[in-house]
Amino acid sequence: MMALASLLVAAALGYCAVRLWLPGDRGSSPWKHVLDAGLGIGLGIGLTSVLYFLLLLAGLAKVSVISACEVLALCALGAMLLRQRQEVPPDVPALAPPFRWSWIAALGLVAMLALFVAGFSTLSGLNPQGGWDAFAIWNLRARYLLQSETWRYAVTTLPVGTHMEYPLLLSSAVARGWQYAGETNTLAPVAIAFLFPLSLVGLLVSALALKRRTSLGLLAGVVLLAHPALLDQAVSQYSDLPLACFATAALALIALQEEASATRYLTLAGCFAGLATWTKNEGLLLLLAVAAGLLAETWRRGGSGAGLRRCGAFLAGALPVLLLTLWFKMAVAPHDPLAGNLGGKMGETLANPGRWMHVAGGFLQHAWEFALPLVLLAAVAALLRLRPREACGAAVWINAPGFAVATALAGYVLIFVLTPDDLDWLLGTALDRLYLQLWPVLVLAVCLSIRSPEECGVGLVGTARDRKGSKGR
Amino acid sequence: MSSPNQPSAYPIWLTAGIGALVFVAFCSALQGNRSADAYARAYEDPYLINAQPERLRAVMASVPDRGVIGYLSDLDVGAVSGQAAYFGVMFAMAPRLVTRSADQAEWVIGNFSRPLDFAAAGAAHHLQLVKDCGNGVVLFRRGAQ
Repeated sequence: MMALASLLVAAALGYCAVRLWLPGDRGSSPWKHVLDAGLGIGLGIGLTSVLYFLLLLAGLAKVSVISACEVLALCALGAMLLRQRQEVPPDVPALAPPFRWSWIAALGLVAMLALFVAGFSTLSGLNPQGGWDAFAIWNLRARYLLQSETWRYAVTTLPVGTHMEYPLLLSSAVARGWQYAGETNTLAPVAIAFLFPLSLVGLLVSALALKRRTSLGLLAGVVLLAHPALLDQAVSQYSDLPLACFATAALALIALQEEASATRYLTLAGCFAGLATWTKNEGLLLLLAVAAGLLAETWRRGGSGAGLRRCGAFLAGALPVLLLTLWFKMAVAPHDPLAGNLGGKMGETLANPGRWMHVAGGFLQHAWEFALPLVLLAAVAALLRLRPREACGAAVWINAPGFAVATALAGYVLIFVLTPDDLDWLLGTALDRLYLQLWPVLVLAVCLSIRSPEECGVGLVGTARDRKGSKGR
Repeated sequence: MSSPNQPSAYPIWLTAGIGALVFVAFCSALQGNRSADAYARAYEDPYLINAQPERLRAVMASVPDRGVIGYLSDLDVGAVSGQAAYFGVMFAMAPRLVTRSADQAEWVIGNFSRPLDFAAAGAAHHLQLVKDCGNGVVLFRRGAQ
């Protein structure tokens, strides 16, 4: 049970931090609390994992020290939260009445969440050790991170045949749970694997409910949960869902940013992107993709000065954890096998059209395997149609999440072209997980670009609120 | 255009479309759930990871709590079966680090899929057999008397 207590402490820390950091005048919508909780779970697990790793480096990774640091931080943040003045939300312009059939989507979302919880519980009971990468990479390295004397085994250069160059967020989070529990049980990794998809669904639905309308957020949650790989990857205890959660959180915060307090949203978005870099190698690419998306969107709306300023705030938020990742990559972790191929043969590989065709074919083939969720998302877009240009201020398809998905996909294609690994093996084992990393971001991008059901009501094109932008509701 | 507070009328295709979408999404999730459940029941612990701590209990009691340990097997560690066997041992033995080499560490775990002359297998790497723990698990030591 102490493993669960450790996660409760992490989530409470994250929740308090989000509540304190984001402005207090975000309206009184209950979705605000769901958003704060969704963000808080990811932020809390991420930051306590970073703290655990730093304590480990200092030789202080004992449960007494860890819990003392975290409980003190929780008390301090809790006291600050209680003293925080409750600001009165500004007047909210009248909205079109909610879509009266929203209960259909709400019922669907609740049923699918129940199905997910039941499936996760059954499958984790049948195989609590998770999938291959869980016992061969993430939880294996977590065992080395339990003691200051053995943590370097998690980054060994000796021949062990696994990815010791990967960053350590998930392994540190599991090791921290085991420290609290006092044993290496299966509960800690299973509980962490359970919380990330829940956080992901919560933050996606609530962000869209706050930015657009509740009905659209509920539909996004339904479409997100329709992806069969979500349950598979969750019970496998892989790091792809935490990565997806961090990327989606960063982009949701970018979407929710308000003019008056944009810096706070963007620094928190940067913090999530930084955590993504400490989760998996692809996190660095996702950070660049999110930054590129932010730059593209704000440049288009407010010019180059605004774009660079906002990108600066985003990168400032990412910097602390990004520095940890860069130090780890350059000074601690073994040589990345991909980097070995970036030498003399790179030009030759890039100039090989057969390899590009091979990669493109693999990407299309695997996309076809997940056709149903994609068809569902396309059907939602076709049903609700694109938002009118005047409702978004500019071309609707150019939003940060959409740009980030395109950039990340381009980066993945390039990595596959350059990889020294067997291409067929890599396409067969990694591509479905890479698609899953981008799936929630794609759902967010599409749902930001289409009308809400309310806007499809007879005679309604867009509400004053939607034109104005993102105020809490 | 209707005023913001005025109730809107929604076209029937919108309501029906959203209902159909939710239904198809639920069916997709249900189907995914069922197939994952069937797979998990058919291949419960497919790599026998859960069985390794008990299988390696005697070896764990005989080697130091930390340190680098070698590995010797008749299974090819390049093949899936050999990799699964290796990672099963590595996971169970952590926080000791089990490397894929049998030629350097003082202690070496033998993990064999069939009966053979374990002493001879160890001798090929200058190892002496310390203990045959049964079930294909053997403990070797470099320079043991």
